[in-house]
Amino acid sequence: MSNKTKLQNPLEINVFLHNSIRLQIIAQLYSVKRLDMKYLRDFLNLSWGNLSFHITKLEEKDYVTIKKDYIGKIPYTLIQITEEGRKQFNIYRKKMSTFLNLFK
Amino acid sequence: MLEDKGLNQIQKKIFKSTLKDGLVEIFQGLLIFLCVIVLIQYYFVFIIIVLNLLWKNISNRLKQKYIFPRMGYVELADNHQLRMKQFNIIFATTMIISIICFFIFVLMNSIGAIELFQYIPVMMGIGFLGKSIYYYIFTGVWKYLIIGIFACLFSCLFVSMPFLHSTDHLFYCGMVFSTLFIVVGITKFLRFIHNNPLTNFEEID
Repeated sequence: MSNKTKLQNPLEINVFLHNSIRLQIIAQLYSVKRLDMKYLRDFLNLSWGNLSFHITKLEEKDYVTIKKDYIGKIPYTLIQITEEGRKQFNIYRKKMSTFLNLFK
Repeated sequence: MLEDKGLNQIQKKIFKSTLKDGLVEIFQGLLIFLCVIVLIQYYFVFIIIVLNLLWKNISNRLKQKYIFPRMGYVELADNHQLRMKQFNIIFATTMIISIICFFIFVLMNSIGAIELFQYIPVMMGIGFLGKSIYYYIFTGVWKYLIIGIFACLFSCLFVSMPFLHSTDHLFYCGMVFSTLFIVVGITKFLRFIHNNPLTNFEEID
């Protein structure tokens, strides 16, 4: 199958986002303006290592931005979804919805 | 759409987590307490205005010191904040109009004012119900709605009590509400501190 045919497939989903942890992270970030690593870790019940690994992967793909910032006197690692991340998540949602509707 | 409902649920869950600290209850309790005190000393109305203006700052400082280091930092989405602001503006406007009406009636010293005082607890109860609906909409927790309905019924009960002076209805009802709110708020705050001890930041498992 050529690349052109692959791209034209309307049901072809973003495999990178299809990972359950990355999907959960993106869904959380999509619902807020920004949050910090500790909040995300506790909310999703993940380990630091696991969370850090997936956040780095998402940052590499330019889906999220990571910024170290002080709130009061305490440093926080703040994560925010990018426009690209929002766009990709919306595409993923639409495609999954279409895909699941086929089985209704 | 199903997935939109899912995202809405996440948003509600996040908002719910920001209410765990009990600071909202403490603020509401203080506000009611001061509103009741206004009945005794009218100049306390300025303290209400000062409390409203400074509360965000005080709340932010408390959150920075006690809440964020324990729970982590979260900033709600712009659309969510906008909806909350709209709701708060409606609530604040209703409150300001009520306070203005109260002063007009007092200045006019009319008989209608005395009769009105008797029914203010019901207005207070309706106000609570409004705020409870607000929390129910944004968190999806039934508990808030039930508390609002009880507050409304409770305020109606106060109106029917045979107090000597009509302002007593408002005074005692307000005192009960404010005490309950402050006690609940402080309990929630202490429980939050106890259940979420300070941990080292981003330690490696």
